[in-house]
Amino acid sequence: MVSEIASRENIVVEAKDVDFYYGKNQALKGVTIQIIRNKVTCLIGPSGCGKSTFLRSLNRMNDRIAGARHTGLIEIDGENIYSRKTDLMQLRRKVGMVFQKPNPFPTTVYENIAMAPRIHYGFGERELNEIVETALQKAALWDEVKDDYKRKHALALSGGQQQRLCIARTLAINPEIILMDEPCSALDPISTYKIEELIKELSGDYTLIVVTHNMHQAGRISSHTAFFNLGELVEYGTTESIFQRPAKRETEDYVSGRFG
Amino acid sequence: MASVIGDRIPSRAKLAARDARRKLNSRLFEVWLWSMGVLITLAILAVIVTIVIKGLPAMNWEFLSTGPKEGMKEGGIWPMLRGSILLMIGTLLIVLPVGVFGGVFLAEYAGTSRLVTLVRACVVALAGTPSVIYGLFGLAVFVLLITKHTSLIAGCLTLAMFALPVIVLTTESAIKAVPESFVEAGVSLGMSKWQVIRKVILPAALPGIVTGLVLSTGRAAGEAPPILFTAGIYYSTAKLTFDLEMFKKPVANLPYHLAEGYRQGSVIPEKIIWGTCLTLMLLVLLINLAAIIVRARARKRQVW
Repeated sequence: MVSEIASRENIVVEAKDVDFYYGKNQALKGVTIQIIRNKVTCLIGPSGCGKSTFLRSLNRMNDRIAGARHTGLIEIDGENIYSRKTDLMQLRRKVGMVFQKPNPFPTTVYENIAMAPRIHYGFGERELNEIVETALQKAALWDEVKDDYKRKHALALSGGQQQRLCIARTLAINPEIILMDEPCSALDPISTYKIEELIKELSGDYTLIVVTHNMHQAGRISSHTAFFNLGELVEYGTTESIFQRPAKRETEDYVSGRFG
Repeated sequence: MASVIGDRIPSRAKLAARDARRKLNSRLFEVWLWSMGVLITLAILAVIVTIVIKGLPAMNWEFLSTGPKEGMKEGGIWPMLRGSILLMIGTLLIVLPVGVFGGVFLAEYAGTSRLVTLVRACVVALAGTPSVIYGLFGLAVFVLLITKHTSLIAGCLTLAMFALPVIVLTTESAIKAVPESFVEAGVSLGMSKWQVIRKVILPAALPGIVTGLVLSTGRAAGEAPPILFTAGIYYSTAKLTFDLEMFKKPVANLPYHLAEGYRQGSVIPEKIIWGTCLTLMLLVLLINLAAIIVRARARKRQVW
């Protein structure tokens, strides 16, 4: 569907004909999509359209739900992530995630970020110090916490700061892809603005896949947009084409605010 | 106005009477709750005050720190107090790993199969089983199969059996109360299941787990029936040596001393019995206080 795709190397995520079920309830119907490396791709659509389900199938968070199953193929860098050989720890090292509600661990800012790199790479104190600082800088949180991030309790941060901490936390394990599930929907407009700026800054180094309710947000931050409705991928293309020249009536109705 | 209700709306006087009745009912219910609250408080106070008044005359440092003299007619209760503390520590050492990891298993690994549902129902039933049943079980299994006579280890094992169901259940519910968002964060960072449990779930559930652990052990420490046939000895002049042999020997303790002392009421002076009673109550209160402090400190840090 995306004609601008130049070469295979540019494709990082490829889904082919993915059906997804929660028990008898079908959440995704024949979703086929190719997501482009080091760009921001937004998944938009009304509630219950399957966009979050699709996002969560990319790092297999859906595995945790009893009765969830799927058919079809999902590949990341050409590897089937639902193969029997897939190592979930490796997959999630490569594919980080930021959730709708900021969910830092109830411990210090430092420990929130240091925990995962320590577990994955066995780093010691000195390396971790550098990693935590770099992660905080990349997540645009450093200036606000640099004086006391080793002592400060993460839950004492504001909601927006907590969400940037969660971004720093996932950056610290060096992912290639970062999934964001409505990362701003629990935040005020100023915090939202900061996260959006951060997302734009991170693209280029990371592939960001962002689920959002907010079409304007998709317009502001993404280079590509996928519109989901009733479990189907209705239309996918550059954000500009989806918003300016939607090919389908359904898409046009949604992006012009007639429903959703 | 009142277009939905229309002319069915009652007169102003009727409404006022109705409102007054509603307020009165509310007030009456409040009075009822207050009286029940006062009743409960009075009942608890009655117990505490009686024991304190009757036990205080016997209470002094010597009473706590020396052994009985003159065939129990005089002297203190140190051997019994020491025995109770030993039983409690031994029990805690057994229930800590078994109970906590049993709870972790039920909450995180067991799933919802029919067998597990049955096991969980059994644990709930065991939590309500009278302690004397554990006493007889301990006699049949730990005493007759291991040491052939009452012993500290048989007592600890029996008390542990008694305390375990509650600890398993409180651990399970403390773990289930950890917000799913923390667990999701751990999983999304690529932690293994055990790492999620160790680094995310257990630290967050710790206050609840420790509270259950301490309260349940404290409750066990005050129970007489489980140790009556398994650990107790009425009185021993043998010197206690702190080594492995200690576990194989019977141990004097407060609940047993009370139960036997009361039965043989003519031998032990009433003053000493009440003093023992007060000591046991203080011991259990002290343990509960520790649990309360742990919980209060954790609550302060718990911001979610």
